[in-house]
Amino acid sequence: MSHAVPTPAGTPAQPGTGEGPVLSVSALRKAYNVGKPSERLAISDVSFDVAKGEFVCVVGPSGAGKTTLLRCLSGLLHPTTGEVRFEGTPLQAVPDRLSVVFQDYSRSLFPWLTVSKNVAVPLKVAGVAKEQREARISEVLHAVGLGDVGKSYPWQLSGGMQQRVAIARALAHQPDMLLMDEPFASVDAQTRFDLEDLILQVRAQFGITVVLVTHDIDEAVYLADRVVVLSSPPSVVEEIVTVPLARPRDQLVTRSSETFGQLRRHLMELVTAHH
Amino acid sequence: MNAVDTGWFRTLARLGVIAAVLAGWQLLSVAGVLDSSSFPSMTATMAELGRQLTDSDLWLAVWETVRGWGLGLLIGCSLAITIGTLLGLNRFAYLSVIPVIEFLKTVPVIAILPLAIVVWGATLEMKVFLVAFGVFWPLAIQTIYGVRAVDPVVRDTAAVLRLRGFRKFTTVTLPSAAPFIATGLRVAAAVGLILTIIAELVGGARGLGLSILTSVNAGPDRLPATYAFILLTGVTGVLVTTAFVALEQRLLHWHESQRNLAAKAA
Ligand SMILES: Nc1ncnc2c1ncn2[C@@H]1O[C@H](COP(=O)(O)OP(=O)(O)OP(=O)(O)O)[C@@H](O)[C@H]1O
Ligand SMILES: [Mg+2]
Repeated sequence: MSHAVPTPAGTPAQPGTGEGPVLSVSALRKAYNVGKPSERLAISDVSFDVAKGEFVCVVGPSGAGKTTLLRCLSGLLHPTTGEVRFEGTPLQAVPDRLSVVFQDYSRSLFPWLTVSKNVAVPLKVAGVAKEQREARISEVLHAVGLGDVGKSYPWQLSGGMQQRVAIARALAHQPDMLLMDEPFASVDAQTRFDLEDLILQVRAQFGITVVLVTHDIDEAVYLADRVVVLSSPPSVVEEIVTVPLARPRDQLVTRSSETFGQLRRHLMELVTAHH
Repeated sequence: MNAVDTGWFRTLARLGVIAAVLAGWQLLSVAGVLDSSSFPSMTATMAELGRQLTDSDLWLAVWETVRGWGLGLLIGCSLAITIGTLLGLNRFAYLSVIPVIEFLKTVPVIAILPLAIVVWGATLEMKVFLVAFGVFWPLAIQTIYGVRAVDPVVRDTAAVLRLRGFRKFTTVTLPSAAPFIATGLRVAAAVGLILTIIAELVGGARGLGLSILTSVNAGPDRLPATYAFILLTGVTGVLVTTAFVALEQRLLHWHESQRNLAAKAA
């Protein structure tokens, strides 16, 4: 099920484009509680590739196994059968060049550390020296549109700002790939638009590959180069929809375009059809 | 802001309550409701307390109590936190040891007091052992549960940040366990003080507990002194608890419970 993917418009050309996919998922199957009476097949058979620099969204009905899939992609969860390859190597644990942003920023950010110290964690793990660390922290905080909040604690900030901190922390050690599980599901509509544009902007700025899980079809179309549609559980790939919308995208212009409307209707049909 | 919520108002209210209790005590004595042979008047007790406070014997007793309590707490708590952490981090050790600890926790510490007296006599060692033994079990259990209570999202986050080994322990595990350990420490401090007084009162080691005992044995004349010592023990307990609460507020200012407290106080 590998699709030929054009380099997305508006993304700087990557050195090494065409070397093969950054992430490749083949025949992934995941069952919970194997061998127990409560055994449950969450993902039946999912395969897709993600090219370097690409933005892929995964949508599907509630309980389709989107979170399960993302945890398998990040190495937090082992698939029952099938394989996930990141930059050519099969996943064993969470790879160095990969970052994850969780939906629940209030629990994912460490409340006992200040914003700066939260962002410093992956840099310390990577062994970055103190001075470069300081410089990098202010660089990424600036990139996510946060000014002088380094000395604050995460819980002193608004929800949108907290998710920005979480994104900054995920970007700090310059990963090749960012995985996000419904990252904007717990913020208000306006903040959500801002964060969507933010993620498109940092993705263009740092040239990273993004896989984002969402239940919001509009969001998927707005952000993605391609949308992977999962069926209801046990899930298979219903269809992979290419999004030919121009970049840079604009909340008003893009969302009111005819192509956007058509894609939206098509995806809506796919997601609700088998319910 | 409401006047009732201001700091000085609250302090004033508390002082008022204390004054009212003391006045009530005096009133009951004067009215003859309290039998003066077993319950001296407030003024007599206070006068005796004032006299005692200038007596070096009293301060020696206070020092003995604080020393036994402090050493016992230090030894018991260090061991409990170290061993609790090691047991909490290892699933196998946890599963095999926890039923034993849960059982030992229920053995009243007082039951081993005679044994401690036989082994060490009326000494500082006896006191320290009793306190250390008494605070070890509950705090070890708190620590084990605390170390194991890392939030699943925090655990996932630690994994994707590739936190491992000692850095993971200091960055994630210890702060997650800290609220549990802090509660355990606060309880340990209070329990430790009670055990110290008991060791002195029953085991005869020097300190405030022994002072209470000797003053009682000295006959009805010394009754105000007995009450003065009891009052002093109470004050020590309040000071100890206050100190630990303040420490907890400082170290755990980031924790939800402390944030709520701070929000209420503001
Ligand atoms: N730890 C688990 N143990 C057992 N079953 C699980 C576990 N986690 C998820 N499941 C099951 O797997 C299926 C997929 O769950 P998952 O959370 O991946 O779906 P989702 O698409 O992310 O749902 P949502 O849209 O509500 O976020 C569900 O039926 C769920 O009950
Ligand atoms: Mg989910």
